[in-house]
Amino acid sequence: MKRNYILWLAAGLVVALAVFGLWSMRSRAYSADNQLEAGYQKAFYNLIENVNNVNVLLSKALVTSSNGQRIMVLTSVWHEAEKARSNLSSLPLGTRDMTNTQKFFAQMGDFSRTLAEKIAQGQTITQREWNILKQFKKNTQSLNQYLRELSDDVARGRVKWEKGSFASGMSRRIGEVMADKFVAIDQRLKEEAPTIAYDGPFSDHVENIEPKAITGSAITEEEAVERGKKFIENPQNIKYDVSVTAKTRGVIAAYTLSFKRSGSDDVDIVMDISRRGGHVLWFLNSRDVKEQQIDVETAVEKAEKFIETRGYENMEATGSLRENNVITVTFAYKQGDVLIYPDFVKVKVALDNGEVVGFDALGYLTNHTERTIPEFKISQEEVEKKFEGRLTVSRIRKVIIPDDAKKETYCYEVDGKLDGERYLVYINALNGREEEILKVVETDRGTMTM
Amino acid sequence: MNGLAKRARLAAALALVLMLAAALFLESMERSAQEAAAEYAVSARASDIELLARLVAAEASGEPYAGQVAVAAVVLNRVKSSKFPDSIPEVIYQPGAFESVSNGLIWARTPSRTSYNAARDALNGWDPTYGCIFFWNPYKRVSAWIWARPIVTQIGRHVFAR
Repeated sequence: MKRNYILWLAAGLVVALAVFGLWSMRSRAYSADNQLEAGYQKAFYNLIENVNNVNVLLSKALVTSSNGQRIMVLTSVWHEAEKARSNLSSLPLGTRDMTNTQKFFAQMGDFSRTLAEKIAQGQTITQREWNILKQFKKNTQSLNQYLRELSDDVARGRVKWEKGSFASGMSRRIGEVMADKFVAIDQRLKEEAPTIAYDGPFSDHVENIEPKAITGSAITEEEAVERGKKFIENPQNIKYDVSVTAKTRGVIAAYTLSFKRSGSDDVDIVMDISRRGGHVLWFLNSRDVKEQQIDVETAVEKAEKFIETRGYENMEATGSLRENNVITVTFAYKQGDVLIYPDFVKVKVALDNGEVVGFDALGYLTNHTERTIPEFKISQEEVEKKFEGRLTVSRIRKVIIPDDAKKETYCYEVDGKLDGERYLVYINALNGREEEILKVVETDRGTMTM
Repeated sequence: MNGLAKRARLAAALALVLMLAAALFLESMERSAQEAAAEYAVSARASDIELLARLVAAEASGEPYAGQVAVAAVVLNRVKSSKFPDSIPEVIYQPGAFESVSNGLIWARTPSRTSYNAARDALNGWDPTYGCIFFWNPYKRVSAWIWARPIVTQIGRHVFAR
C-alpha cells in the first residue's frame, strides 16, 4: 500500500517535470522567435522608409538650382540606397532570387555618388544622366507602392514569411507567403529598371570585359598537361600524375589540371590553363610548409626569377605579405618609366625551401597590352608643389591605376609621410585631379594599403 | 679665454645631447603611431580571415583544396557584387544564404589549418571560380532558378555559377 503511494508520487513528479521542461523550452523558443520577428519587421519598416527617402531625395536633386545642394542630396541618395541594401538583405527570404532589387539599390546609390563626384569636379550633368535620375525616381515610386501593399500584411500582426515545414496540405491553404511576394516585386523591378552604363564599379558594362592578353590558338588536353608540368617548380623532384580534371567556362575558358603524387589520391597542385594559347592562369600548391629556412629577400628574388623564366619581363615588385611561412609577392608591369598596376601577377613562395607554391596571372592576362602612353600634361614639379607643407614626399613616380569602372588613369604616385604615417596619393597626370589616397600600413609581415 | 672656449664646448655638447634626445623622442613617437596603425590593420584582416575560415570549414571541409578556396572566393565575389550586401559578415549572415548558418554548423565546427589557408588564398586574390556568386551541391535539392545561372565549373561536390 505504502509502496504504491510512493510509486504514484514518483510518477506524478516525473510527469510534472516533463511538462515544466516542455513548457520552459516552448516559452524560450517563443521569445527567441519573437526577437527574430522583431528584427525582420524592423528591417521591413526601415526598407519602406529608405525607399521613400530615396524617392524624395531624387526629386530634390532634379529640382534644385544649386550645385552644392545637389551634391549633398545625391550623396544622401547613396547613403539611403546603401541602407536599403542592408535592410533588404536582413529579411528572411530564404534562397529566393532578390538579386534584381539588390542590384537596383546598389546601382542607384553608386550612380548618384559618381554624379555628385562629377559635379564636385565642376563637370556638367548630361541629358542622359538626367534621364537616368528621372527613371530612378519613377522606379522608386512604384517600388514604394508595392512595399506599401505588403505593409498591410505586416500591420495585421505576425508575418508569415515562409511556408511551414509541416504537412503540405496545411501550408497550401496559407497561399502566397511574404517571401514569395517579395520575389514578385523583384521580377517586376527587373522589367522596369534600366540597364545603365556609367563610371562606377556597378555599371553594367564592367561585368563583360574581354581579356586582352589571351592570344594564340587552341591547345589540346595533352598539350595543356605538358605545359603545366613544365611550368611548376619542382625542387624536390616529386613524381606527379597530371591529368585534366575539369573544363571551366569562366571569362577565360580553361582546362583544370590536377597534380597527384604518384600512388596518392590527394591533389597537391591545381592549375588552370587557358584553352586558347595555353597560358597558365593560376596554380596553387596546397602542401604543408615547414619551418622557415630562407629569408624574405631571397624569397622575393626567387619569385622574380620564377616569373622572368616564365616569360613575364619588365615586372617590378610592388608589395608583399607574409603569412605563416609563406610570402605572397605582387609584381606589376613596367612600360618605359610608367608602372602599370592593372597588369599584375602574384607569386606565393614557401619559406621552407623557396619553392613557388602559388601563382596568379589573371590580372595581367585580362589587362595587359602595349599602351600608347600620352604626354603627361602636369609636371612633376607642379605635383610636388601641391604637397608642400602637407606631406614629406619621398618619391614620385608615373603609374597607371584602374578606376572604379576599370578604366585606366595615368597618374603620378606620390609617396609621402605625415606624422610618421605613410600615404600614397594619386594625381591625374593629364588634368591634375586627385584620384585616390591610400594609407599604407607597414607591419612586420609586409605592407597593406587601405 | 680658456674658460670661454670651455663654456662654448660645453654648450655645444649640451645642444647635441638635447638634439639627440629630441630625435629619439620623435622617432619613438613615430614608431608607436606606426605600431598602433599596424595592429589595427592586422586585426581588421584577421577577423575577415577568421569568419571566412569558419564558413569554409562549415561549407566545404572534405572538399578538395581548390574547392575550399572557391567557397571563400564566392563570399568575396558577393561582397564586390551589386547583387549582394557589401561586407563579409553581411554576406555570410544574410538569412538563408548559407545552410551552415541556418543549421549552426558555422559555430560548431573548428576551422582547420587548411580552412585558414584557403581563406587567405582567396583574400590574396586567387579565385578558381572566375567571379562566381553562387555555389550549390547538385546532388541536393535547390531552388529551380539557381540552375538557370551560367555554370562556370564544378569542383568536388560543388557547382559554381555566375
